[in-house]
Amino acid sequence: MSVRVITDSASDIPPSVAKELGIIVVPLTVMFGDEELLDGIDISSDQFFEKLQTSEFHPRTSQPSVAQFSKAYEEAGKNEIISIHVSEKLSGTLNSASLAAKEAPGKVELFDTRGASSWVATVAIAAAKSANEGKSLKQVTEVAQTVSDNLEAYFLLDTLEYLQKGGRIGKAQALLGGLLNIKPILHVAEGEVHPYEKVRTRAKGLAKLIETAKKNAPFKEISIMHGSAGEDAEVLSKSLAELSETPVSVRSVGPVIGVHTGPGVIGIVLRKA
Amino acid sequence: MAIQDKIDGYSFWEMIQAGAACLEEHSESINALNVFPVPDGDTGINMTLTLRAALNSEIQVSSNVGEVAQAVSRASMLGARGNSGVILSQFFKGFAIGLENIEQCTAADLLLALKTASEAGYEAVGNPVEGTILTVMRAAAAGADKGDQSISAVLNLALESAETALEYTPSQLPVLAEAGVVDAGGQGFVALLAGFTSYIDGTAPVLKVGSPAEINSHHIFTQSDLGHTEDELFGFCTQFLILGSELRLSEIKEAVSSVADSTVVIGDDQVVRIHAHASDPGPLLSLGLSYGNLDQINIMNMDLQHQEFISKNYKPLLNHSDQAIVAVVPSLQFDILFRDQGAALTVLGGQSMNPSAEEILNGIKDANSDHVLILPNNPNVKLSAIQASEMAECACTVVPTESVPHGIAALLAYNSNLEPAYNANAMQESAEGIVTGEVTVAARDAKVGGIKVEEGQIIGMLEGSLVSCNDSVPEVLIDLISKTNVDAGDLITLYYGADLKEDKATAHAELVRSKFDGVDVEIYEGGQPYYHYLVAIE
Repeated sequence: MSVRVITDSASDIPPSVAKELGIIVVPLTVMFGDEELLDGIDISSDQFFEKLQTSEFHPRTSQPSVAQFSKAYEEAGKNEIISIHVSEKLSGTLNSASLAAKEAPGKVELFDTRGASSWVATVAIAAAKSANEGKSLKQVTEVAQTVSDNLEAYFLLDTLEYLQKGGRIGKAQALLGGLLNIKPILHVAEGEVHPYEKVRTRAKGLAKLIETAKKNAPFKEISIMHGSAGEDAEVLSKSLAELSETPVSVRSVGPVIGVHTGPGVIGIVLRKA
Repeated sequence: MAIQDKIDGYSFWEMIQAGAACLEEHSESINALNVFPVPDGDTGINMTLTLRAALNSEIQVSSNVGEVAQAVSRASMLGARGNSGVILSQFFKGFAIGLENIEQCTAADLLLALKTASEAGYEAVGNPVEGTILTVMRAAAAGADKGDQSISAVLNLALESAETALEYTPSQLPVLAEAGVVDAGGQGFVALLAGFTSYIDGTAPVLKVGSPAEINSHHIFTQSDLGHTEDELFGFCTQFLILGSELRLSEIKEAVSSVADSTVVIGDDQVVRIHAHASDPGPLLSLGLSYGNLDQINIMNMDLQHQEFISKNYKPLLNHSDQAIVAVVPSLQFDILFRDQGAALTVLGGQSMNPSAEEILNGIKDANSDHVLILPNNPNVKLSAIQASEMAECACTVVPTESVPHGIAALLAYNSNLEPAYNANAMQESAEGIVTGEVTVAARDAKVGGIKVEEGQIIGMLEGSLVSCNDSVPEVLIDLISKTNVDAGDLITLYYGADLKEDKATAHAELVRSKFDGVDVEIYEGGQPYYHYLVAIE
């Protein structure tokens, strides 16, 4: 009997990686008006950001249903499960997972990463690797815990517009209603999102992300997450390469985070060495 | 006054008054020595107000000279405005150190006090520059020391040496040489010494004015007195020039003080500048008319102004915090902008109205915090901010921002979750990440950095250096920006001043956009006086 890793689409884990490591991804739903789209299946990150700017509706996201989780847990068969998810402060995903876990055929360990997007992917990938090495559920859970305890993330928003449209990202709320047009850098640590710094130009924001990473280097791994900002992500990836023991991964931000941040968001997830 | 061999507390007090009177009398010609033709916190006014704060404070004058010197030191430190005022207050602080525990000051005591005073002046400045008031103070202390002598001889030697040092300031500071002036602060100090000497010798003060530039700077009187009205009736702040011939300054001074408070009457026999607070400006103007023609009449209802400031700015009680930011800003609009971006409170002041150390100190107290970070936002407010921070009971750090846009850049880097020391560094770095430009009106004819300027023309400054001069605001604005390395993707923020309307500023912003491809341009109402634009380029 081995351990299966299950996560949700708010992890923004690339499908190829999930497939290679045997991670089951349960999709959230994105809704533009009455139109319901399964995240990562019916709509890609790039498509989402395009639609975000062109649709007459401001999208909402909705957690996976209990049934979706039950199906995923059944798919895992007789294996023990670690179910690794987006912070319950950002999404109700863990609620659905928890209800489904009670009915699941095998043991399900629920794990709140207290992060989102690439943060969740980083934890899920590390857990899956250790599961694939034949580790026990307890050991895999310990790996997930250690990794998530050593993560820190910073991200730069291109605009406050989407936060203003009713987004909710922790204490970033405090930035709203400002008179000055600013681009905030947010910091995620210990399950909380804080305003970290404010800049007035994107170039300064990117420089600040690099500077912040350099100050805290070295890292075991670094991943970059972005919403329709592939070029900047590549530049960032090159600048940060030497700070990381393993190659820097670049991942797209999906709707769950994207709806709060808008296009142009770019962030770094740092795993301390 | 007979020649004295000792100075007691009463004589010391009178000597300071004589020095202040001489300084005040010449404050207009000292103002005219400003190198840059910008409406700025004038040196003569700042030094005069600093001394006046000391003289108007409730000092218990006694026969003990050490105690009186100590009281003058404390009061002038609180009242210090502008860098020259701070250095002057530090001079008095050092003077008091030299006279500590001394009841009656002898010539030897005076020599020592001049020396400790000059040293204290140097200590007040992070990077002392020669060719300034500091050099003149040190020369006075050094030149006075000629062995056994009387008090009169000490002061006369000090004055002579100071005058000589003053004449040499242009050879030490190239900007003075180019502007053809001696250092204004140094001149103010010479005036003070001349007043001291005349008091001791019982003669009328003779002030050698060190070859100043043309004294025709009929620029608008500064607002620096506003802070002085706190405990007084407000009424109308009335300012005007009397133009005439054979005007008798002392007579006008007396007449003005009979109908108004907070009077400053300065000038010469042809132009007299009046600044006074009256409950009714009518009699004051009539009085002026009886002497000559009136010009540049400016009447402001301070009751309304004060109420407006109180209602919009006044923060009665801030909750105690572990750190907070206090910023010096030139307008209510910037007060709102700074508080919006995280400053706890602001102190009104800046260009052309340097706040006193005490006003900043009150801001620090009101911030109610363990550690206050201060943004002076002006090079001429930096030293008073440092002085206030040293007098404060809580920990303070001055982040030495040199302009309002630098202050905003610094503010954006502030993070209340991080340590004050970390914040101060990050804020300083962030401030240095932008370039500040200013567009204003030349306050007088001048030639700076090879650019010839006529009074009334529009001038453009980059980081405090004159780079552009023209008759049109938008042209100077464009020229100014083109002198920076502005590039596509950069952001230009225009804060338009009180003299510009929004539609004009919008049109100017459009012009800037069209001239500089790919550059973002944002406009905000800054409401600052005298300056059409404060510009941030990043």
